[in-house]
Amino acid sequence: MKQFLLIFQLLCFINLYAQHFQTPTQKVNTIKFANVSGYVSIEGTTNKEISIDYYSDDAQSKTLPGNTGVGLELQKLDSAWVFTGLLSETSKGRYAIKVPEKTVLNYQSDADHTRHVVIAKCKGDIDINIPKDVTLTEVSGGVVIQSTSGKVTVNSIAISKHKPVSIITETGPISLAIPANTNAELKLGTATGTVHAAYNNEKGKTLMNGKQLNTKLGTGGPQIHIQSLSGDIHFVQY
Amino acid sequence: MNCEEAMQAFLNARETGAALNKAEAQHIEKCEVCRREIAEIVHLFAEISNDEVLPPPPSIRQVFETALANEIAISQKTIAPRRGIFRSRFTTMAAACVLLIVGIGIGHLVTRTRDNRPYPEAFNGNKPDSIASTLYQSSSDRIETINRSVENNTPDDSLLVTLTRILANDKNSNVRMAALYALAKYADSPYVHECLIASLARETEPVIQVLLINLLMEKKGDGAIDAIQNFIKNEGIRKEVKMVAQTKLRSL
Repeated sequence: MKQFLLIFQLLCFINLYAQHFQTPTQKVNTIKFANVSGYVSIEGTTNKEISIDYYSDDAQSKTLPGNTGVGLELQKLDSAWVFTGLLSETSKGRYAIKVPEKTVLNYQSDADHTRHVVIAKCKGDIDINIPKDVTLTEVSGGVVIQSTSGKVTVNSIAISKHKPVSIITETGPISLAIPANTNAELKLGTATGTVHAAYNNEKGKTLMNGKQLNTKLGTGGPQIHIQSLSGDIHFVQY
Repeated sequence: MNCEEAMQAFLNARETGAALNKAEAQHIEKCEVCRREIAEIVHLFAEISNDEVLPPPPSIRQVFETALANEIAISQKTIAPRRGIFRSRFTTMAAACVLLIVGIGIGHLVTRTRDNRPYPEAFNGNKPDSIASTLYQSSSDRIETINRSVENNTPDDSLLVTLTRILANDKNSNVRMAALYALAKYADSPYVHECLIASLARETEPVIQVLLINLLMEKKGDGAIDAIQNFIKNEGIRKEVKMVAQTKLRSL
């Protein structure tokens, strides 16, 4: 009972405004997001539509700019759609976005627009270039990430044949976890950080700490390239 | 006068019709890398002016031919009983004509779809060559194509030229890194070695600078140490990169 009262009190104090946008995405194979502000989560679904919810405690968010009504301008280009953020860098709202799972995602943000992007359950290629944090979970396409100072975390990734995994950071740490039976060519390196790796090779489970790790996992194949200038790299096969 | 300045001067001269100055002309005359690149550019311009129609890339041709073969196999299965019923060559010929038209249509559609896609940044607006034309759209696609292109370990000159161009020009650092890893397999080639040295001078991504330094120091080819010594004099480079370079040089 106390918990319900507490939640009720919280709801009374916090005015959480939400805006919604939804549209079918027939024949769209690439969705690009540029300079979306705040915290962003993108989830792949089996539906052939894109839906965007924007949550904020800011009263001004009742009327958001852009042709989507959620602070994003949508531009349709043949088979690619581009959503461009129109909110200021100081916006602390949260976007919850759902996209068709096989769509190719391209996510770009300069300066401090996006504070953290989380992408989950997507099967298309993912191409991200932002200065802040990136988290990927349960993805299975090609993954290309560049982040200057953010932390990059990739969990539960299914490495596809020929699909690359390429991650670069300058100062941010990188964590990558892949299944134990993955076949891949692994190249990890950091100039002034440390590579911590727990992986399987012909000798069995192997632990390694150092600056570089170039090795073949299983029979080799897909390329995994992870490099950081000063960030640590954590790699584990689970 | 370095290679980049000489190439810029050559391109300006070509565009404006002005003559090269003595230093530029001398550099181009002596530098094999520049001469190769100029020959490439001249050849490229000649091709562009001669023929505006791009042939479909090999991968598309392969996809098309596979699809066509499947269509033929399926149609043979379905047409064969009809021949038994009608015993007419006209039906077979009509089916073949329809198949041909559909095949050409599919091929045209597939080729046109790819041609409409933006060319990779690696080529700065130039028309791509056969390998480059398969590098389109997403960074992941471009990296995938680079990785596949060196799988058979028998590169020809055009592949190495394309990879060095990508390393020099692609706007995406991950794609440049993939090109560098691909080129690393052929770092003993004098042409690749020269290109790696040239790339060190123009590369802006610190992570790739470190990879270039590591590779050049590993191979220790002509001019590598001088190039790295010159590189670390540059005040714009990150201290971590400078530290790696100095450590490598000290370990000699």
